[in-house]
Amino acid sequence: MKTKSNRFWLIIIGVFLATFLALCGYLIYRAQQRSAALQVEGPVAIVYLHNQVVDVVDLGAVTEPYTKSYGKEADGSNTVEFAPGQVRVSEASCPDQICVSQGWIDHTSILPIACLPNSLIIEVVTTEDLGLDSATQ
Amino acid sequence: MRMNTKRLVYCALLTAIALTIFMVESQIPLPVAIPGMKLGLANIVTVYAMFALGPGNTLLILLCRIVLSSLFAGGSTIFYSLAGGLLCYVSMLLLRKLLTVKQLWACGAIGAIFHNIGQIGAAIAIYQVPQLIVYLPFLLVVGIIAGAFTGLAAQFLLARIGDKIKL
Repeated sequence: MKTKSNRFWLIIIGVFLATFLALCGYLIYRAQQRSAALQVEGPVAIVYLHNQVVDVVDLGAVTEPYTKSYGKEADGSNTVEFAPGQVRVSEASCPDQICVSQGWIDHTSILPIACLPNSLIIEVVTTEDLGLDSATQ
Repeated sequence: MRMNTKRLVYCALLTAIALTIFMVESQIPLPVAIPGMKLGLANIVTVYAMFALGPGNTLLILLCRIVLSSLFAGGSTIFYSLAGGLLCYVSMLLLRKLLTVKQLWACGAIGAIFHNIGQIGAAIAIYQVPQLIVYLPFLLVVGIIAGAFTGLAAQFLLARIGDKIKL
């Protein structure tokens, strides 16, 4: 069985790498298309904590930035800042601070904010994604 | 799997090395902030152990490393590491039969693919948020490259000390 050459494995892994790179490129392209599209009505931030939706904020309706804290001190907490059209984690108790350094996200962002140590996820969707139209709002 | 004192000490030593690497790695800043993304340097020990000691001992080292490192790091990251680590381990069981000692870099890269799939799979299962899958391609690109290098490091390690350790 152990007869496959180094080149064989190089090609296999190279193909995988190329596929995933192309996928990344597509995701980035799609996000840019979205930002080029017409101004969406009411991007909505959805906050998940411990596998449950705890907050749904209409970012289009936010006029003044404000912060809100999620999670108890004991199991870790995150301070989330909501601003017109965008949202970020401004403070977090977790050691790696990845969620804070992810910065602001809006409806064109490719990746949702995730703080895995504190089980917090924030994603921004448009009303289009939610399957609503102006009649149902 | 035969376990004598010498073997036990060697496994404990490798676990300690893996934990040290893990702690040092957590201090290395990465240019892009993506949750779950890391170099996975501790995987050098897993790949090395898989080929030098065999599957049984490797599983022990891997589980000890994951449990202890999540105690150090805190939070609920153990589920992601466990799912990723075990899936990676299963893929290595197969790769062990397919690869020669000069192809350990491929083992690192393919192991990384399965590790990332396990990680994201666990996150999706826990949160029930399928949108998290968009993380996967980004984690995979970095994972494959980093994995190839950690595998290469294990390959050099095995070439240098492989037959000098008699257990």
